[in-house]
Amino acid sequence: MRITLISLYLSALLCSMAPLSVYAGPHTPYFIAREDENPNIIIREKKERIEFTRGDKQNPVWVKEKSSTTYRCNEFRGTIPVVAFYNDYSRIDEVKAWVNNDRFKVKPEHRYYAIEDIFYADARICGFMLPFEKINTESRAEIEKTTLDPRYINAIYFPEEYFTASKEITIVIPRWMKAEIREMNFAGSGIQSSRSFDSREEADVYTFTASNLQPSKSESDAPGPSHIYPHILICSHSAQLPSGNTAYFGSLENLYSWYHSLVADIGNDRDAVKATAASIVQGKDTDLDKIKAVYTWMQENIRYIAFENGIAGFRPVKAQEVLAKKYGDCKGMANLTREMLASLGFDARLCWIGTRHVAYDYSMPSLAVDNHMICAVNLGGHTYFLDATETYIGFGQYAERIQGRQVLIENGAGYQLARIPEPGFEQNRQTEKRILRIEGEKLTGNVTHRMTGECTENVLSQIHQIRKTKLEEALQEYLTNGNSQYTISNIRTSDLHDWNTDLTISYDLSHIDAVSAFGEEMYVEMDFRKELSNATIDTLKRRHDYWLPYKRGMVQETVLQLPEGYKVKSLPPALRIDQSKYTFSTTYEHKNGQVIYRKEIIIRDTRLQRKDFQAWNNDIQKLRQSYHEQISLVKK
Amino acid sequence: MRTFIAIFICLLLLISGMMAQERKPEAWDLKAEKKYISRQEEVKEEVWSIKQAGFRNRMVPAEYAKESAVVLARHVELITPQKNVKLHRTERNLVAINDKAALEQYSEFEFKQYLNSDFYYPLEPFDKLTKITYIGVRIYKKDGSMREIYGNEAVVTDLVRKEHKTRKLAIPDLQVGDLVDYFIREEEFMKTSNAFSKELFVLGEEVPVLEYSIHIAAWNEVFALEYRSMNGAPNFKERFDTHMIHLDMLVRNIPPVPRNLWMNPFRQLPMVRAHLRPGARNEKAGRRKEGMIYGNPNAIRIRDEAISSGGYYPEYAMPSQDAAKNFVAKFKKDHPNATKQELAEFIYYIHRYVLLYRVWPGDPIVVDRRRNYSDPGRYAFLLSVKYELEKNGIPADIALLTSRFGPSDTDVFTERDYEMMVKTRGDKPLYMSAVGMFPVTTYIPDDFEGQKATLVNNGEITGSWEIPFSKAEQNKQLNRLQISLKADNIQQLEINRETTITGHFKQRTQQQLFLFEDYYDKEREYLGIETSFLDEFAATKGSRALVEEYKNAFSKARRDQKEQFLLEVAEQFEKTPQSLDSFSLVEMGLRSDKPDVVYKTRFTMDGFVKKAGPNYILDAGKLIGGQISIKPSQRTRNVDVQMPFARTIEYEMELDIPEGYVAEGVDKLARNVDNECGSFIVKPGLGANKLRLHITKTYKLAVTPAAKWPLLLEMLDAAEAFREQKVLIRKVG
Repeated sequence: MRITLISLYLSALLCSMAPLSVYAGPHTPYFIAREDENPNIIIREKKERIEFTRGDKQNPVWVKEKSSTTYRCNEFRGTIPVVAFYNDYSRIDEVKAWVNNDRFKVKPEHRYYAIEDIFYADARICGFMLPFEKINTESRAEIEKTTLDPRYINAIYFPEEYFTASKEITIVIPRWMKAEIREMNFAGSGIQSSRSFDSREEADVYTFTASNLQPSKSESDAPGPSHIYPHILICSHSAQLPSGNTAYFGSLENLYSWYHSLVADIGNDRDAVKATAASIVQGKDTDLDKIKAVYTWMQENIRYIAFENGIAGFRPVKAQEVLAKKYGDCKGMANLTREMLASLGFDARLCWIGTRHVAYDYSMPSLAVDNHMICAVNLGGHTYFLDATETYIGFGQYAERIQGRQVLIENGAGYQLARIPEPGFEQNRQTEKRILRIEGEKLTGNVTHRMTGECTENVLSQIHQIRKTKLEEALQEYLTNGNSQYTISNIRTSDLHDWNTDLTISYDLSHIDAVSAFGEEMYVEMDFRKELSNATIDTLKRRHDYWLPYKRGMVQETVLQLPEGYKVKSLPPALRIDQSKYTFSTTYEHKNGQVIYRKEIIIRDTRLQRKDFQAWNNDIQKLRQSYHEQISLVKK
Repeated sequence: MRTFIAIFICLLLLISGMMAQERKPEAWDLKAEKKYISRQEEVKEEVWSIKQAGFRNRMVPAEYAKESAVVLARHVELITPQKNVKLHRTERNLVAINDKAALEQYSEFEFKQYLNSDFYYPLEPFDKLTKITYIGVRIYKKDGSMREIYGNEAVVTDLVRKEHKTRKLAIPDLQVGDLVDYFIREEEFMKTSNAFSKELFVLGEEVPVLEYSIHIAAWNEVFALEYRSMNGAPNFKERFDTHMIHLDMLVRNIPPVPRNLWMNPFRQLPMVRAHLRPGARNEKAGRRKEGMIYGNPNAIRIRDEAISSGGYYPEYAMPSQDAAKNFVAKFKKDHPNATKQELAEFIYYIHRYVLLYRVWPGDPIVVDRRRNYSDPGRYAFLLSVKYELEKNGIPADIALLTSRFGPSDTDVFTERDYEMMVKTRGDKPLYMSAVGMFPVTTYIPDDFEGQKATLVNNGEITGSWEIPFSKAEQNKQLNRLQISLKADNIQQLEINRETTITGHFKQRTQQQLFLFEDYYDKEREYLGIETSFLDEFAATKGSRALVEEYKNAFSKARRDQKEQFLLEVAEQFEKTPQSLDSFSLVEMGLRSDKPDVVYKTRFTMDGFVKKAGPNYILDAGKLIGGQISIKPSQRTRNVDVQMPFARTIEYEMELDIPEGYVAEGVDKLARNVDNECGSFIVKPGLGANKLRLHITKTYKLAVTPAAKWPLLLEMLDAAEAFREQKVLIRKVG
């Protein structure tokens, strides 16, 4: 699906060269910023005015945005990039700048904007370098932009790339325009809002003011911006124009109706894909097997390439074209999946969905709600959701990014709402069993791994990126953590091209110098992998919640055969941490001449909130401490 | 990432010229597109009709069935089809796609459809300034069917009116098991800047190439051809006809050559360099006679051309030479008894100071780590230094030599293959190089070691100089660690570390950890320059405001320095410390009499001490940090081991054993692997509640013959295995 300008805007924030900390000039207030931020440049004031205006015949309503940003140099002069984004639905009308109150001649550059992992997008960037004359001076940039269709005006964010001392957003909605404004993530932000009526313009004027806004910050594994930053969501309902009433997104019906209009006339030729579909399911007896076969074929044979191009960002490519080219974006892949299944007589439908990156659901009729498309198929009263962009996930399994998300399912003129199932950690299992014995100062034996769900997907997606001549070595490096003393041989794997069954890997192990012998005693470290031992979150630097990639249940068991003539001298204590979002446990058991070490790590909820960080860090510390325990054996 | 994007945006904004907002294709673009498609038709007919047998091959030999991809045929052609008007370069490849990694590699092509060579003018396709690229792809399916796609069907991903139009082509219907046959044709008008075309053909890559053909043809009235075959590559077949001179080569069955650890491709892989260049009526230095082919030209002649074309005369000196000259005059006045050696050193350092250290009011304020990567640029800088040396009666030569990682002196092909240094004459020569901000006058860059330099003075050869390899003890990292187990948590180590860095290790450390503010002051102190740029700025009304700004910038750079020290500790131990409690630079190594870099760090590490009942296990081996692990595929090799330089990494550790505990198993830590290629020696000791470890790991040679790789492996394996070694800290009583 289309990436929105919001994400472009936020990526522009990454360009920040210098956010803020303390400014203490005469007659000016103190602005307090965080220790980890750069204090050189701040935004002293930003005023942003968003106004709905009459457009032209083709686009009867335009949205004019005018921003004026005054930057202040607190420490030393330099230049900063000032950028604005636009695309096929919008244009930059004017760019002006002032340096220390003198007009600064601007030659903005317009470029295509390359977005990581997107093959092609219609996003454009317009920008220029804004200098500062010297310390304690200000430079100002004014940008005017027109969005040609109010459908594409969605979220207006408050945080900027720099610390912002004062920000005012004014939204002017003439009475002929019906639009709804929602305040998102305002709690605790200190943002003030007011509403007035401009009788001359016959318009409602919404004013939002904020002060001392911390700059936005890009962090790995963080929730999407709609989850974490205060913003205004504008939902354009309709416009009463002299030419008549123009409906936008006043309700979910409107939104669906627009979506449906885009997919209704794609030009699919079902007959053109039928033969392929029939050949795929040849020999499959049950309907479920047929659906599974089509889904798996899609995953294996259609490459995901993301296109974001104008209206094509919302309209799938014809199914027969995707089939012929063997590549497509999520819409194209969902559409081909639907057409192939429908050609076999199944009730398959397109679905719009927002991944977990998006904070909204369809209670808001807005293009901001979804960013992805998948296929649903109804069989025997059950709905299966098929996302072929997840190349290595098994049928009936769901990636974390769509689990539990609301999904808008096509249903002729109407629509259906449903939710993607949210399987627990049980979907993503990862077990490792080691049967070991002591030979001198080595541990030897055999090891078996078994993986399911996203654990399988994670491993297979890495495996298939590696040239097959290097696969065995890469697999060996992965399994040995790059430790050449942990030597493995005779590797056997299940079929690496079948992700509908458990992925298994087994091998023989010889871990050299894993046993430390001192006099009559031996010391053995039973945990080799020590997962999560580096998972402490830096609470001084981390600003946002931390989202783990997926839920999972990990079990490791090491059975150590005690050597002849030795007995257990001491075993480490057990560890059991049970939190609502995760469980860590380690146990040591001595029975039948064996020591059995069992570790279980369960991630039930991937969303670690900032309030969870302290407990998480404490628990990781305990887990790490448990990794730092060894068993000791002594001669009888 | 954040920095990268910021830099990218800055570059994007700075480099490009102004252009209008691109909404729909403009008239010039639409018009060009028609011409492009028309020409594309001609090109594809021409390229697809190449008669090389390999392009009819559809079979992957069984021996290569497990390869990710196999190049069944490759043809590269460089020709001047119309006398001296145009230059066409074509590359065509037929590749078997054997796995998803290869599928990914060949599934997309990005290319600059139009590339303007002169940004002063707007891009006009098909004019004399624009290089045009055509792409065509055929996909052969297993069932014998074939489909095609061409560059005009690619999406436009960037268009900058003064620079280029870039497109991206997604290859349709490409699957594992298919063959992809693609060509890339570049066409441009000949002009001064591109008439000299350089080609490098490497006959050995990650995947096998079954058939590799090369054809170079040039109009004999205008051009000359020359080539150099290196490292066992075959020679071209030369052919002359009425109007053209030709070079042809056909090589079959080139096996895959994995890029191995410590390889030196320029000296170890078969390769051919070729030039298509404008000829001259008469042959002389730097010129080739038109219509002639020069196969494997005499290296001495290339060297002589380098000497004569380079000139190495003072008129090429850097513009700031006058400032340096004034400083030299002052030095002589202030130090009438200075020796020639002291004067020579001053001349070198003052030139570098003038070029890289001095700050002007109009300069952008850059005082953070970026400044540490400044480089004087060899040519003008070294010529200025030499000129000033000679003017002050200090005889010196320019040393011309090739990099150890470039062509050898017997394989030079162009004068640009040569690097340079300045070497003073006499019993104790000084070496003056142009590699960064920090070298001292006894330093010879690592890639010059083992090379034979020609000494040149005012265009005349004055001698030669065999540069020896430095010894392992000259390039050393010495870590002195005082370690104690933390009183309130015996499993945490408090480490006081003093690190001494010498030789070739220095530059990276200096670039990572130094602050301009510090070394600027130190350099001034050495050079006797009393007035800092801040003093100068403060004295002038127009620049006074800059003083505070620079102080702020210094302060910011100093705040960021801790992060670099933290990173340095984390890299050393392959583990981020719990805390970095203090750090300081003791010596910066900016002069020959104090050449070592010395710094101190104090930090706390976790995870090196394990608990076992009442006792503790110290992961003593892990205190030497990460060690290189040799992969199974790297364990056998038939090419020499080419490392940057011989080196020693040394640790002197002293660990306090806490009261109530004793250390056991210390003797078992002893190691003594010592052979002609390397050594790994561990000398443990115990005494007075202290555990002492003296560990040295030495790479004795920069170049180890392949036959002796097992000896080096022995040392590397010993060091890696040592990481598993432990000491028992036993509770007494």
